[in-house]
Amino acid sequence: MLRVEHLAKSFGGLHVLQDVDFDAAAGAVTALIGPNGAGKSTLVNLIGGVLRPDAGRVLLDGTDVTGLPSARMFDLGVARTFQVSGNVAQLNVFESVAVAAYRQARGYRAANAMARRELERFDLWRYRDERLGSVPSATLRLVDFARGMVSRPKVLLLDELMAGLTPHEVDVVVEQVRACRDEGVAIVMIEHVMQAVQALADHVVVLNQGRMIASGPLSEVSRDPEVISAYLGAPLGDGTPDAGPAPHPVAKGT
Amino acid sequence: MTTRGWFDTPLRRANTIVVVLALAVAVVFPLFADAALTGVGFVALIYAIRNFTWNIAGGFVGLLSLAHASAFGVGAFAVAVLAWGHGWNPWLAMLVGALAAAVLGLVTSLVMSRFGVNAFFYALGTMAITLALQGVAASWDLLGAATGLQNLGAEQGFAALQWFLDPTPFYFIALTFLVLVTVGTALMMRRTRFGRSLPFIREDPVMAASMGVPVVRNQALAMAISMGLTAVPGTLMAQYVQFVSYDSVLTLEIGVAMLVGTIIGGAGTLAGPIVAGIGIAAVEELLRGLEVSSANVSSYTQIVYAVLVIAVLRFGAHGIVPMWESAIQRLSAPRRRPPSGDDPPLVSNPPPVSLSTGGG
Repeated sequence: MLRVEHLAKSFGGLHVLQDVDFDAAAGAVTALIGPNGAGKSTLVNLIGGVLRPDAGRVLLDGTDVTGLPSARMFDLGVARTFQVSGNVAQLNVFESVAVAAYRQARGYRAANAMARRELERFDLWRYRDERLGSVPSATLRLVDFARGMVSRPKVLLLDELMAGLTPHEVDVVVEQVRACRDEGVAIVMIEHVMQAVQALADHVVVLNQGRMIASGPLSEVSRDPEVISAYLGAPLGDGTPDAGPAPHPVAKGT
Repeated sequence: MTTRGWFDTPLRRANTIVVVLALAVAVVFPLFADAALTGVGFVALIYAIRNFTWNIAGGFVGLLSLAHASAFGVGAFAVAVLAWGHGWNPWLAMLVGALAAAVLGLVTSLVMSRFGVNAFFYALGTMAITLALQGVAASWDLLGAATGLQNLGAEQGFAALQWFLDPTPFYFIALTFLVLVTVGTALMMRRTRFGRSLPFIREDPVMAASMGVPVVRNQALAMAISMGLTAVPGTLMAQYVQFVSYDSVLTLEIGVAMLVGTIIGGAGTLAGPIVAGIGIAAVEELLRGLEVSSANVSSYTQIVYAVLVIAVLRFGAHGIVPMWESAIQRLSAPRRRPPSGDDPPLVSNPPPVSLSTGGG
């Protein structure tokens, strides 16, 4: 479905990403994990068309879509969620789902009907008149998720969907992600919350300082010494001084 | 928006009543006013229209444009040059002016997007356009240079868009145009993909793009619509005054008045720019009534502007109409829908400020 080949990006002299290579299959969840500053968000921005890569290719169903602008990527079926910030607090819940629905819907009524169905499915209909800034944060994540799903995407990029949620809320959102995966969407998620990675990830890609240091099922990558060292910050080989503290050590999960 | 009636909520009831009353008063106003006062009413409508059309780009999309003063001037000069100078039909000249202003808006927006400027530079860049055009008008004989252009025609009537003694027809043309533009904009903002995407572009262009919104194209289109429509009050004003010059219809002050008026009334609302436009015209007229020498009226108006802006910032932050809406909502009992059901106890975000986007 989505294939990323030797992707690289640098800002000035700083190599944010080098030689990142993975596949995200339809009906599967691919988790991108790694310490802060590993380049996860940059990777999602490269796939989503917000940034252009310096090297490498992004393939969607075998077609080269590298460097297309994000509105075009959305039209082709790559939707994404955002770490919603304060500046969109004024926007309306219903509208934010309805505008995304226009990818599939022709016209006002069709878009509204799709938005309504999606909001009802996520049990969000009662929030339709609220502003994004006035719904609880777990609900906001679901709205964001519904906004991604209403466009019937081929690929859905989830950017830290679980951040700041309680364990119980994570379970609720995980259920919804699983249901969407089972519809055949290729889900790529950046996630720090190990509870969600464990519950969802079919495939895990570990990034550290812009490089892919491991790729495979969670049980495999969590035993990888380089992964453990990246997360715990222990010097290994060339040493990684500013890997940063690990929010959720992977090793603990297995 | 979901399908809603006019009387669903207390706010909608209050708004419906106010709109119906305001329209009724607006329609009968010339019957009770003398020619001079009807003229004041016409000017008030012109202020309301140009605030409203500025708001399409400035309020809904958040493009802080001062190029709209140029659009107003283009509309005025179009009728002065084509109709007064070359005998065109004024309605046709109005259309040509609107199209020219729309093209100017389109090009302005595309150039600004090309350089990816922020809001401050957007304001500065568009200000430069207005200053440049003013300079051209001040030095080019075709546009009257320093002395201006005068309407020397003697024709009157609807086809000639001219009435020498009674401003009532001007008043009703302006009122009709304001109503049409308001209804059209409301439909556009609520019913079309283009209109519904505009608040998303304003709040977060990156997010809007990831929802499939062609940001650059829609910004350019909004600027074209907004500036094209701003040319129409320019034309009407020129026909009414029968005189056009670089320092009467193409000044930065007009651009600032549109911006300030919209912000006072409530940027991004439908009613705000209209309320502020009419309010400011009324204030100007009151000051004139206080035997302030005519040369001072504009400087007193500036002071009143300043006081109004400070008051709005102090008490409502988002303008008169949002203040009104939150006041009505507060008065009509605390009936917030509790997110009941089987949800887990969720931490809620800080309380929002009350401001309806995408129209009141």
